[in-house]
Amino acid sequence: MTDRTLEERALRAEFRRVPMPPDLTVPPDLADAVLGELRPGPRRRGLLIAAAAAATAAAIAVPLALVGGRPDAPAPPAGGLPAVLRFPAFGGGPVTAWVWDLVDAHGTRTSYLLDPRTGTYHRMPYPVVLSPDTRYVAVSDGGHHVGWATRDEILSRGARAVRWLDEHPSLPGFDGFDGTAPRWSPDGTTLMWSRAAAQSGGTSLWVFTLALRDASTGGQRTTVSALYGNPGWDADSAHYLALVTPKQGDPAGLYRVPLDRRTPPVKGAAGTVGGAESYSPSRQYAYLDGSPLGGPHLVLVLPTGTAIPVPTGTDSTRWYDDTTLAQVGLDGVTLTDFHTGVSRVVRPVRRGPVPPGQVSVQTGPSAGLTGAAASLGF
Amino acid sequence: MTPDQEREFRRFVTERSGGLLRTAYYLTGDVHSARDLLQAALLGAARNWDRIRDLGAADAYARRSLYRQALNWRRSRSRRPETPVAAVAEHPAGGDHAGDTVLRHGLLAALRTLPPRQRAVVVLRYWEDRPEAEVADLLGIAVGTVRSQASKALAKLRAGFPDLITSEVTP
Repeated sequence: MTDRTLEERALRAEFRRVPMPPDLTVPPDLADAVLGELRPGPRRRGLLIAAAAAATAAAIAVPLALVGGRPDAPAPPAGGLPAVLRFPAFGGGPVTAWVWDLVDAHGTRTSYLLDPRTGTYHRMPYPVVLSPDTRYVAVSDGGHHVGWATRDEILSRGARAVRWLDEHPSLPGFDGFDGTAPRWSPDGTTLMWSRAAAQSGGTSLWVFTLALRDASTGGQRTTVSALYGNPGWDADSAHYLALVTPKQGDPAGLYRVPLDRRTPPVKGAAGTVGGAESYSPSRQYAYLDGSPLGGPHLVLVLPTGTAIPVPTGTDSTRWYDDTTLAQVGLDGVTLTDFHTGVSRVVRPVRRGPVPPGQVSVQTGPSAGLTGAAASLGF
Repeated sequence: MTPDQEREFRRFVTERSGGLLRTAYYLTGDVHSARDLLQAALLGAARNWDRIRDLGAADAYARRSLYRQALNWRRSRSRRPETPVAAVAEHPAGGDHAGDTVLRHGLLAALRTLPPRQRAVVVLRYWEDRPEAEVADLLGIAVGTVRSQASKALAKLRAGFPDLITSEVTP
């Protein structure tokens, strides 16, 4: 056997030996995405001959049926969620649910993002995290990679609109995401997520921030920082907060760390290891969901750190205004003034068929919504 | 595309995309680029669906499109500036602990050193196990060119990644 043949055999064996990455999966909406690109846009639509128009009508008949809003409409077939859904409309108000997240029995999260032009919610190719101004979404691909897109782009182009952020070859220890999901800064300008990078003798956690101030021109800036523990945003958007455990060598507690790292971390910060959704519109208050730790739900008064217990419930709790928390569910929204404890319930005026499973919401201002979307606010 | 053709196309995507995606992964070197490349290749196939007779022909068309798109795509990507990193990590990682990851990175790193055409030849010959004549047909080049490109690729791998092509192989 020649050297060349041996080398060829070795290379073939190497290809067989190397496992494929676990996230190398075909996107479930791949055919939809391709066929969507194939279809002509509105400008060319007028030129279609009658037969082609009939075919297009047949193609869009299914999504139209799904968004028809019939209360007795059947649940979608197992293993597939509808491309478009209508979620409850509450009759109008200053806040609306921009994203509904459906979580199935296996814990898989599917995000539906509001198209403000139609008032309908569109299934996203990846779970999304909406920026506070609702203009951008961060995406997390099955917990392995993080990217971002503008809201309008991802609504029109789907997965192809996403700019992936974590493929830089010079960053050490990169192989998939193992840390926290992306979190927007309270001022909405910066995206942070963390990643565990293996080191000899242990695991370190890293934080990456991306300034999106000039995202409209495609500019990006990435900074890298070491971190002690699970990171979240400080209310000022210039620091992150990190929980430090005793085994990591420093006194345990919540540390406040400047993003530019020009000053040392300070122990004893008041805040929460969350994202923009944790802070009230004025950023004077932070909401702490105590359920994962079995503790009470609290509102922290910043910067003193005074805690106010608030009612608990099974629905998503989001900020409504600086004195009010909203618990948002498919059957209604409970608005509670956390200073007085007084609540009122807003019932939906219309709701479409929503597949079974847990739901949660991401809220934002409803200002500017018109037509069918105007009634979605509460 | 008529409703019948759309059904056929969806079936094709369901049945064949997995294999095409794995090939796209070796051509591009990362998961997301592989998905983009696959989608671009499928779009080409969809645009010509009325001329495609069966799933076998569709597979050949999509595969050819995949390789040719990969060559163009890599050229266009090479012009794109990389994301700058403003600050370097303070405690750089010493290496990956997962054996799978190390293996994968070794092979991908080796493939990255090859020019696009050599890489395509290597993937077709040694990953997909296709004969030289078929490789030539898919890439639109002569059989002799396939042979010479494979030789050059092996020489480059031999010089840069000797462990990769001299590892023990069970006959």
